[in-house]
Amino acid sequence: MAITSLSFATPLRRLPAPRRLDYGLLEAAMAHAEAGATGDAVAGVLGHLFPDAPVPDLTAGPFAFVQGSSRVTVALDGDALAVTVPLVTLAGARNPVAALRYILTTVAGSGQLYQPRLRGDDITLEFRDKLSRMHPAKLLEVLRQMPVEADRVDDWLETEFGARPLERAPITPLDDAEAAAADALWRSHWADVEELVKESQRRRSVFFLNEVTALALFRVQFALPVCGVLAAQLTESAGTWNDGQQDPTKREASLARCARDMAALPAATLRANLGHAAYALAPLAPGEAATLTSYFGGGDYLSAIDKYRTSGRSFEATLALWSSTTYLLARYAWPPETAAALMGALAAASGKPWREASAVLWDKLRAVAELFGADAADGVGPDDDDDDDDDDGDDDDRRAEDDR
Amino acid sequence: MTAPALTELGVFQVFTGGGTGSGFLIEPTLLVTNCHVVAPYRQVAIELRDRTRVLGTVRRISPQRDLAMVELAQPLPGEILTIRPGDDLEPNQPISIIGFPVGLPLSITDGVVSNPRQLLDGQHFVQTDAAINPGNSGGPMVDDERRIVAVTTCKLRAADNVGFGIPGPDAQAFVDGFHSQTAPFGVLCPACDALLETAERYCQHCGTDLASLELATYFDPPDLHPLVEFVETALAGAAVDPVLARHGHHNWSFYSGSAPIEIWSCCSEHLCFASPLAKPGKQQLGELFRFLLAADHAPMAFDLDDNVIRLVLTLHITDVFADADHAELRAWIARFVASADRFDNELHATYGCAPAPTTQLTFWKEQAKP
Repeated sequence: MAITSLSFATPLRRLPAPRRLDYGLLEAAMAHAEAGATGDAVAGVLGHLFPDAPVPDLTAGPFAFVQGSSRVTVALDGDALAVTVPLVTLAGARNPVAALRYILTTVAGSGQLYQPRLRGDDITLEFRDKLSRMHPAKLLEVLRQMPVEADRVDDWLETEFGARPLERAPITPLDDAEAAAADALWRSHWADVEELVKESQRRRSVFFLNEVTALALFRVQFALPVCGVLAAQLTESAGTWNDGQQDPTKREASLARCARDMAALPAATLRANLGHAAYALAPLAPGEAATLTSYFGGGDYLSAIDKYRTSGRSFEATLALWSSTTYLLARYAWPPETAAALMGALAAASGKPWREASAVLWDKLRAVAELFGADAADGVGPDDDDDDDDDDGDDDDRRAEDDR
Repeated sequence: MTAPALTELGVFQVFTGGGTGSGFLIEPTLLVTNCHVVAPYRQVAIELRDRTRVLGTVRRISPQRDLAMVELAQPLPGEILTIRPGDDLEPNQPISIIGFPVGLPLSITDGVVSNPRQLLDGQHFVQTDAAINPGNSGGPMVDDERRIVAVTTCKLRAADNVGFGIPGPDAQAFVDGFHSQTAPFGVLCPACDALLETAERYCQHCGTDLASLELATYFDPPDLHPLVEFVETALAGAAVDPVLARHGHHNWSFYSGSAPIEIWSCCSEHLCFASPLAKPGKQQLGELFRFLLAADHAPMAFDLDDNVIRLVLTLHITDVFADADHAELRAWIARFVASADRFDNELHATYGCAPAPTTQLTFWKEQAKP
């Protein structure tokens, strides 16, 4: 059945509030490191990264925190600082050789300060270096990347190879009502995607395809607390269909296959891969006013949408505004009033015919940019959507923005 | 008589800390290349077909004509190409460019002479439509009898298929001039071609003001970036000649026995070391992978990159710029170099691994003997 309107439902994912980090602490930590006071530098980095908690005293004992399913321990060990994240044990694994190969291929590597290490049957991500060499930049990199990497692969190792998790942090499962709503949202989403792929094949427009693939990925990431191996599978699949460098036909075929597979997922499997995780480190970059302005305050992208909107191609215009808004909600932590305004725009357009929806979204999103965006004096430029504060460290799922 | 195969020609790749280029033998111990390929380095590395490298000492450069003469530490094998005499090239005459485009193995590219005497910036060049890419610089442009008609030097970036070579007679004059002189090193005056043996402000012969040439940059050793100094001091400590290891800007490559080692800094955060050692065999994979992931390899580690087992080590760039602990970090690097050579043998002997595509097979076979 052809898709005739956008639909919006309140997200089941708990939207993270933006966490403002104290960069003064970080600068002071840099100064401490330059002066050789690396213990104070480490304390400064921890104070910067965890603003809501007292600065841990590592001389009194290890400091542990939870990031998604990862449990990270930071400890002094003699003259060294060690950061560890237990991953899995291979004892009893169905296919330990494949698990080991997977770890060597996708987790170990050059250009990273931590590596997977095998002790007995246990795989742990480890970083260890002398405290005297602990520059804040090094520690920041380790603390931001290691838990994300562990969170990325632990469920895969468990599901694909039968490895058992080690000390994994619990994820709060959805209650029955949430699970039912999530199931309905999931199936409705992939049914929409299947129809949108057919439209894309009919229209043969890369612009349209880019918007469909972005929506396919970011609507799930925005609305549902997907975790477990399903999150990894979705990201892996999106690596093909949301990659603007790939052949459009291949992207469409890949997305169509993914949509069919996802729609056929048993309810129990979906539920097992949904849950509310805790994040000690901000999982998303804070939404900036300039980002809103770059999307809805003007510029080439908005001009392109306006051309569609004013030339009888409301479907394309609505789809672009829908996917962009969803992307912003999925990838950034916004102040509550900004998030509410963005979601309000989608809710107002939900269920309306394309032409009406595009007018509603256009007006409301322009108003959001005016109200919460950067002043004209701040300039309007292309959006750099993964700045240094993006703690999830995952660059693979950026939307295909080549046509922008 | 049949022409020698491409790989038998005396055309070799030149490596410096600034990049790579091409060069050709005029004698078994003398190689001509571009000035811009070697400057400001006075010592360069020349790579042979078996990937071993030979030290080259820059003896003469002509910044104006973009030519350099490099004396090699040992005679190199390879067919010496002759420079075509005279100035009789014709438009549309077929030519070939021989060299190492973008660092690839020796390649030949065909084209024609677009203009035998194109005037550009006050000098004449052989213009061609043959593809010229970075790394071709300094290589020979040859006619269909494989005589050198020009030395490849540059191309117009804003245009397609517009490349240039220094005409053969100019290259011959440069060679003849070198043979008539005895100074160990010198720079040719851009105005009169007189030999300058020191960094003077004015040419002793024609009086030309040489300030814009910044002669000191040719005579003085180049200032080393702290990262380069760190790496090359460490390599020297590991008994690796840093000059022979240079592979362009903040890149090094060399062999430790049969194991290739690559060092690079591709971002502002890391200094990376990797050694592609071997390919997994078909047996004992579980044991092999467990060995590779064993915790006691730290701070080094192994990974699988396109089914090639690599030994890797990553240093944070802040370690390079901090004063403390360089001795320990250099010891890590020395250990990495020694371990790479040891591990590839161990992987073969214990786990039946096969050589990696870039393994130095001569040494591998030697070491693999029972």
